[in-house]
Amino acid sequence: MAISTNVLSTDVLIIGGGISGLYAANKAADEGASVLIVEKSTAGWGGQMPLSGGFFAYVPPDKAEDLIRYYVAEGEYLNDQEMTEAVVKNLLPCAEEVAGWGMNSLAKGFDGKLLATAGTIGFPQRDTVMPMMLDRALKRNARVLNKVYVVDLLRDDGRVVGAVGFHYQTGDFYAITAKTTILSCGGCMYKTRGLWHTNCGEGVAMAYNAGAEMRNAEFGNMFNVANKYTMDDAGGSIGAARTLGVNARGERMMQKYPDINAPEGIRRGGGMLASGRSSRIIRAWAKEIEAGGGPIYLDLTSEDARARMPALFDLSGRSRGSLHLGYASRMRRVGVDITKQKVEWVVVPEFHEGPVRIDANGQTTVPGVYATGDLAWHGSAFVGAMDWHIGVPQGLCMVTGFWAGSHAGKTSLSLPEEKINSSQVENLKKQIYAPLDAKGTYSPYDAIREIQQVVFKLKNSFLKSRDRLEKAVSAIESIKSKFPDLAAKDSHELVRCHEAKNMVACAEILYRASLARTETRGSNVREDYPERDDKNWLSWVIIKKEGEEAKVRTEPIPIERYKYKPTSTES
Amino acid sequence: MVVKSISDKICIGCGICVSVCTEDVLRFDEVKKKPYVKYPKDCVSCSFCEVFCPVGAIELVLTIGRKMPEVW
Repeated sequence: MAISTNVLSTDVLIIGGGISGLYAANKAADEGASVLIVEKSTAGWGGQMPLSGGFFAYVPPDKAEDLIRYYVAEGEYLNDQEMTEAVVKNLLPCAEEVAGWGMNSLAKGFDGKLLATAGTIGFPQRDTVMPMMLDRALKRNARVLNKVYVVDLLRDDGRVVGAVGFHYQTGDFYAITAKTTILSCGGCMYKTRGLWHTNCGEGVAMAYNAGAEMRNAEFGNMFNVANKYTMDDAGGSIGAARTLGVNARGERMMQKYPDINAPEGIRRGGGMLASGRSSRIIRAWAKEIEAGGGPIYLDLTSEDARARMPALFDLSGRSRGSLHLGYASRMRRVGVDITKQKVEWVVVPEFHEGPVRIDANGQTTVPGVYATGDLAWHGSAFVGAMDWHIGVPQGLCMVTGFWAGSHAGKTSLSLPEEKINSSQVENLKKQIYAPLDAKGTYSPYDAIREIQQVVFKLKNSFLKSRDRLEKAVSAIESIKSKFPDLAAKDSHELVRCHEAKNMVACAEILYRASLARTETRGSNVREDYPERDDKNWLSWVIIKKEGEEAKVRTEPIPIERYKYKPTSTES
Repeated sequence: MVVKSISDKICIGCGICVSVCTEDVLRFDEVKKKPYVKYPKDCVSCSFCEVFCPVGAIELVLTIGRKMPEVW
């Protein structure tokens, strides 16, 4: 393969052309900085946003405090409450700004209730948010590199000064120097299944390898439910399955598990009631199945179901709010008519591992590099111990994109141009292309499958114990030890090789953090430590790479400084 | 394999399907000016190619019970 080398330079480099990266690009360009967006797919279509169902949570100022209190209670006090407040109070201004750029459909969804959802923000159609943001950035002279996969960050004396990567299709090499670098490329989802596949921890691994701190990583272990046929949760069917699932005996089983509902006082209305308690729902499903109550079905054969949830039955193509085919259409493709037969649903891994620690400027703990959106879902600590919450990541993407873009744009104007360090670049280039060397025998497809065989296990990643976590760490280490043998036939497979490497870094971070937290809180369910322990564990687990070693420490949460404190009855 | 077929007769060669394919399953044949399925096993059934094809040239098959490692 003939590889050409391209050297580029910019003020602000943005890795990832999804919603967060595009927002950051606009803000940086507004500051007068030159901007380069690099995207492995195509900017304006990339990331999870097109798959996200179009939810975007934002609140009016008089409801902000309710939402902050809710996030802290559901985050079980592992929040950085200043961050929670900063994010919540910026949701509406960000929504308003985007609406002002021409994203009109957003405002229509706003109904003044605690959490409003705007149903169409995720559509990358010509008239909606992502292409609109891209066009706006391009008009401000932002440049875009599509189909380029970024592998590593350039460093100069402890500061990040750009990145290197290669073209997915041609294999051509790219070295980019930048005064500031923004990672906006999502968390790690381990290619769990259809739809949720795009993010393989690229940004997490890059930040980690550059020495950035990881925080709250033990909560990056989301599991979910999916229909057994297509192994996905398209078109809003997931909400129905999670709340209406019936066990093999025909019982509406969720009624047996009252703790899936948030306690009185912090409840919100509507169908999203339980989504802050996603991990409790999965615990209930797991318990039900382990006790012999499976399989679990979603039964929508009644007239009543059809009347109450018409969107699930829509056969016209796209599912409401996102891009992929809807539930009824998908099920019909596999020969299932949901109006006539009940559908089996199973527990599946999903993962949203985004542990990169950031401050309220979007800065990581390493100078020169920022992280936004899903990458910092846990690391920002704004939702504490929650694994996931519908509609909120999109909001975090916007707010952190806003922060990082503004700050990086402004900062870069006063920084000198970065010079390329040829020997560092040559070294990284050699490492990146090593799997193309014919000597290797380890297929990246085998590597990814082996990683999945470890992380997909509910008993490794969701229901945890010291014994099993330690075994999982050694299994991951043994996969890692085979990496010098990774072999790629072409640039496409070379991407798979680097995805495997990134996933391994993320799995290590997840398991080491989980081992450290010897209590059960949020989605960190330790079977050997089943209680929440406020006496010892109002602390964050921080992981940082030093040399080749993962250094784990705990950092007390400054709870005395914060507004909301756990009461003795809760602990 | 999830992308079943791309109809050369219907396809207008706009390349949108290749752009939206995050997993690089589809490539563009510069000689024929048409897309083709190059890496079928990497398709994750996101269905963007079919949904965004302006002329309906792409047909998907959703695999039944995709073999992924078990959770139990």
